[in-house]
Amino acid sequence: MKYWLTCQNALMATLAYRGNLVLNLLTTAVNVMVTIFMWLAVYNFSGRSDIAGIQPNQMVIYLIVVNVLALIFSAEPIFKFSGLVRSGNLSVVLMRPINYFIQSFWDYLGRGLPFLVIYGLATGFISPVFRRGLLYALASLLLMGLTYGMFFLMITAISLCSFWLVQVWPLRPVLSALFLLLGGQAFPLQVLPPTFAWLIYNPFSLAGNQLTLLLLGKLSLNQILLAGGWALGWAVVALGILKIVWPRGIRSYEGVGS
Amino acid sequence: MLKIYRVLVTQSLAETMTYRVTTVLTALFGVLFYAIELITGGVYFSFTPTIYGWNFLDYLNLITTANLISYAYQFLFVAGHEDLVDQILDGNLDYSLLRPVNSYWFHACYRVDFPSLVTLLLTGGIEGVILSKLHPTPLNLFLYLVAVLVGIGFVFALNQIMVTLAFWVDGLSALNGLPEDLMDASARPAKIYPRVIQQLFLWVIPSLAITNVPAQFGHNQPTWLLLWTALVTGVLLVISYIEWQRGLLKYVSAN
Repeated sequence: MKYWLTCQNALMATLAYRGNLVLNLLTTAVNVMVTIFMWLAVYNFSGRSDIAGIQPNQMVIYLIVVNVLALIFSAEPIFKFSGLVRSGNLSVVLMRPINYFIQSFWDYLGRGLPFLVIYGLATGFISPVFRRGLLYALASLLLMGLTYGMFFLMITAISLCSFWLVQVWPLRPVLSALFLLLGGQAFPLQVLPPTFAWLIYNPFSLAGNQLTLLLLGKLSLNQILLAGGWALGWAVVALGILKIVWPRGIRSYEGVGS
Repeated sequence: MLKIYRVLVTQSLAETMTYRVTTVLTALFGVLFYAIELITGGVYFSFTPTIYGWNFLDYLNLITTANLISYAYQFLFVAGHEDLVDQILDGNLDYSLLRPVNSYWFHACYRVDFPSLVTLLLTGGIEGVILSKLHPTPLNLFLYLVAVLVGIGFVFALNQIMVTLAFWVDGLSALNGLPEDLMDASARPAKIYPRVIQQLFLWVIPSLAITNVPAQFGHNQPTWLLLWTALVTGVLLVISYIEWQRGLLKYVSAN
């Protein structure tokens, strides 16, 4: 229950600054429109009705959904944790009868909830995911859950560098660039030559490219299971890093400002 | 005025040298995002040799010119604009208002952003190579440079108008990013957009013209749109100046 309150607060914080939320959504919408028009021109002039197995109308949905996913999979926990370490307020959090990581997860969930609802509605109404039998639907839900958890763990693991770095702001453009390029936000990774096929199982691609293809019904059951396996693998790696780095970070933490 | 500007540039350089790592990182990120645009352009043109008559080299010319305008604005004015929002909201304009200088230009030129100079020089170099392959005539090359200067003026005026809104609007930080988003969206061939959008952003808010016009001069396709963009930029500069003066009447000191 105490964590549910965190989730509610985070949601309220997102909705409280409506002006900024609307402008951010507008910016995303403009970026998506630009990419859509460019791709439609590419389809038009290449004379192809299918690029890497994706038709023009599917490309439109792909670009919208992958950008919604980019909003869901934010890197905000890194900057929140860095603020706690730098101000020394982490000491206060550590003294509370809560698990910081669980609280951070619910905060992450609350902040992304409006966008998760959009993705959920799109999955329910547009996607064929729930019309391909119980096993397929369950596997899809499992992949979504695993990927969400994996990405949160990965971002949390990265946030631990705040124990040693004074400024972590450079990570913001780096992670945006990684999501653009490796996550399939700029273009579906499937349009790249086959030599780059291995890229689709990187954590950013699982979160952006694979979950979008899942919604479009482009993944077979085997591909879902393979992507799920990779998500689980990355989650284990992130968890391992957390287990190893957290105690060392806490030892080097000086609690300045507390 | 030049003497004051020289002092402000020297101060900016001193600040840049204090935050050397920040400078290097900012320059690197500029290069990174430019590289992503190049890769994305490469992906588009791997499926078709031309899009609305633009080949890959023309497209490179377009996005590099758009980046050139953007980085030139950032180098010359962005640090001053970022500082100005804080100065207005904190009520700290008194000291500059008391000085015997034009406060509009003093704040606009208050700082130069040296990290952007690295990316500006890099894109300038790449654009030089692209132009050498496109072979514009000397007149078209001259008009290309004029169009780039008009572009910098246009981006400056748009940002100045947004920043000065801080006299009236507080807490809408995302508003300041709008001109950048508009220019990012305009760094594409105008013809990919539906006709209504084309007309709107070629004639009413000519952001598409600002990026497309110099690129057209670059590949020897002169256009009268340059005159229109110059006229609109002039009008926007006047509007921003009037807005500044009206804003000063609204200003409340916190000193």
